[in-house]
Amino acid sequence: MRKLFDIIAGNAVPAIFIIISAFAIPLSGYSASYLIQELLTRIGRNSFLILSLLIPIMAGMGLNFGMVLGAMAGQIGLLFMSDWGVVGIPGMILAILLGTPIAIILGIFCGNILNRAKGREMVTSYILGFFINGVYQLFVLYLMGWVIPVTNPSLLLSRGYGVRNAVSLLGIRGVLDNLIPTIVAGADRAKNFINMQGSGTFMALQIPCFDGEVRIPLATFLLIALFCLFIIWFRKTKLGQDMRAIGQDQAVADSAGIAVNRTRVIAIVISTVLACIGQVIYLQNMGTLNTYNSHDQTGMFSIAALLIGGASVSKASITNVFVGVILFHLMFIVAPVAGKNLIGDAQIGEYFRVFVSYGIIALALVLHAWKRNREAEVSRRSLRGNSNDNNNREGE
Amino acid sequence: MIKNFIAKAGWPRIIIGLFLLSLFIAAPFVGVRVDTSLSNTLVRFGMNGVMVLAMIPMVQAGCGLNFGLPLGIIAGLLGATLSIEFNDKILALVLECVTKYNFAFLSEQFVIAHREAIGFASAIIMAVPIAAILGWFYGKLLNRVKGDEMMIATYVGFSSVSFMCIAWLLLPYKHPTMVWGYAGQGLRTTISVEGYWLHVLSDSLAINVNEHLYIPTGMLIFFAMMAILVWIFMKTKTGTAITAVGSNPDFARASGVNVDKMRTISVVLSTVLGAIGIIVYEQSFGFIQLYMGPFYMALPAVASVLLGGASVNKAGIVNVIVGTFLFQGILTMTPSVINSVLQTDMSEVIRLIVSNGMILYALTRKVRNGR
Amino acid sequence: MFVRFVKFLIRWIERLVLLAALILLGAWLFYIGREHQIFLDNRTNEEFRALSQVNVSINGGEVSELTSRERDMKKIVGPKFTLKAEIFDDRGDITKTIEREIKLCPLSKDIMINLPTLAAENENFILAAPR
Repeated sequence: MRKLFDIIAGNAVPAIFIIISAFAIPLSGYSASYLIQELLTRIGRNSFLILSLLIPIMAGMGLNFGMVLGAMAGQIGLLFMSDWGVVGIPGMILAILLGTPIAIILGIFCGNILNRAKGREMVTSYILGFFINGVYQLFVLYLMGWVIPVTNPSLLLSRGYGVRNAVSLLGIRGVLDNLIPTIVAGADRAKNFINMQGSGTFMALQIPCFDGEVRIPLATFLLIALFCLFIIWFRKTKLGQDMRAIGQDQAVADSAGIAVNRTRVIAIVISTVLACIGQVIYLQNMGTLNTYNSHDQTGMFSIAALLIGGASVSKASITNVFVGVILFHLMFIVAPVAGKNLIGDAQIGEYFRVFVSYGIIALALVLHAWKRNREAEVSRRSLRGNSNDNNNREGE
Repeated sequence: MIKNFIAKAGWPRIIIGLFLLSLFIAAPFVGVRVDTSLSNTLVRFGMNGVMVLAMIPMVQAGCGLNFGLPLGIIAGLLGATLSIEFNDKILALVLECVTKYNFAFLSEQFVIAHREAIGFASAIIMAVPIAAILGWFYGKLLNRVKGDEMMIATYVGFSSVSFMCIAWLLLPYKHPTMVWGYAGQGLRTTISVEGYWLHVLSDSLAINVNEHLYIPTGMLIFFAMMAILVWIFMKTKTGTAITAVGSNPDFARASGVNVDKMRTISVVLSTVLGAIGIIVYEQSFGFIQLYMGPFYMALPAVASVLLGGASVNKAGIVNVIVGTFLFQGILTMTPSVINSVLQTDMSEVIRLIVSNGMILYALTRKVRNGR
Repeated sequence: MFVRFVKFLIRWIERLVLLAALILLGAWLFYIGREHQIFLDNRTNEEFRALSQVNVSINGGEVSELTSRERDMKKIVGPKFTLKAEIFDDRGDITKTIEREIKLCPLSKDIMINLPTLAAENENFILAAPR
């Protein structure tokens, strides 16, 4: 009976989403190839960011709302990169290289703050995101172009300092996605594609009775796969084992000689750096950087996607990431159109998906806290029942 | 003596207080009028005071900072929009009662003359039960998630705001000043309360010392009344029980206090205060802001009470008054003073850093008595 | 004691080497990935007269035809590029074909190439880019 409850509670969220999508997809009227194309793009764009959340969860620190810190670090890297006019894959790597030290510093800061707020990590990292957002704005809106030299005037606001709201990243747009051009298409389109590519590395898969075409961001997928392997490997290392021990029980881990606080800081640093890389990958796909908004929703959407994939605050796997990114973005694509076709107002679908993003996080947090409190209650009862000794001590 | 004062007031308040003081001192030198600034600060203080007051019950009951304030705000918005929708009917109803029962002091003229106050009162009267019901469910929810209240409160607030975004579009409001003109349905994003209850509190008994210094006496008295009510409530048996639950739940349970019930009461009270608070805010601001308007409204309120010296599990009226004054003072002074010095608007960034820095400081402070 | 000190030293040296390697990597990426605007200029200056027509192709890309007093701009990535210029006389016959590799200074961003100077095989054909 307990087991049944756990299975349902564990998979209720993905199940609800599959049902919603089952209704919304036909309502939207999108073609299969369009949906698949959009989904593949979004998987490539978002997976890395979501994967960056796994390590803090492993270390028992909950959902790292502080991942926006990493996203901001990545954006600063991108700003310098586009100021210097470095483009292509070198540009992307340079942006990551510039963002990483900032992400490490922010990660150390965040980790130490979270160590001072044990048991409240999530709300603290959430507020920390806002706080660092203020510092980021101070840096980007006032210091860049004034204290920090910016050579490219097209990056700056007309007043001479402060970065513009929208920065074009045309130089690195799609460079990773299109590094190995790959297409799955019907015969004619595939032939066209092959002719267009000429010489060079590319892949084309022909499917006889299919007249659409789907482009696959193969290089991005390879990078994500590599990163998944990294996480699997990392779990088995000494550090990974330590983190899991801390996630189970901090006191026990401490008495086993694990440097709890240090390990927690490392977990956050890794997460922040990965979020920095993830944001660069995300923005190379988007092609424009909204200096003051791009990072804003990164945290919320990534966390919502992970939770929709069936993860909880204390347990998340790579499978959860991919199930989540597919289901969440499926809803993201179809909801506005489905809302428009159903009620005649696209705005409702828009609000609906915002509501679902927040609602799902709320639901997951509630389910987790509820379960934990119930378990605590059960264990307390069993303690009381078994040992009178304990009761006596409380009486004193 | 000075050491004692510093220990009592705490460094953050002293730094912020000195910063605010220096802004006031610097103001005349950069061409900003001190009296205008002071009166702006007072107005903002009155506008936000009740919402900050809404933090007290939940903090005292150990439910943490009420990041779920938007829930109460939504109840207030419902009350406010309903009061405008049924403005005529309510007035007719009141008139009917007055003529039927023939109160000695309530003449028809009196009712007509005070129709704005009646509209305002009706908004509060309608908002309070809604807030109480929402707060009851919210309290029940928070009882099941002890230890994670703040994070869940944040997301309860967010999801209720985004849920209401859908509701504002679909609810069958009809009043022409509130719905979109072309569609005939769906509420506007901002609704003016002019002609209904604009400035009913602010302008009653208001003192215009000169053309620059304006004191919204009515609003300040209303705030004082609410503050005294909360203070009295916290001194009653229920209030002390709530405080006991907050400071040591195990001890409270052992001495026969129903912990969950006390927590629920505190959440209901907090939500109701949030609802009243937003109506007070709107009558002064002049507009009802729907849709994403209430989204981030919890953060300034939380930051204010913390700035006033509250901690995650202890807050009092003094914290609310000091904190709101400091916080709103900085919000008023930084744009005017800093702008005239640096020629840029840094107020938004300063607000972000100060308010969230304050919350961070409170969250990372070692909490005494073992919780 | 001494062994510990040496270990400590080695660790720091390792870190510094790693840091230096990363900085070098950054510098190298900056060097090879930088985008430059190449302004092609076919105007008369103090020494050389504008050419009547010149067809320029950079890195084997699209050919741009510049008649006298015309300018054009091309974008290249990286520190060097090949430039192929076909110079025509007034009657429209090719009088000369120049093909050469041009290297940019590591820190320069945009440059301007004065084609008449290039055609005269004078080495001072690289000018500062116009603002």
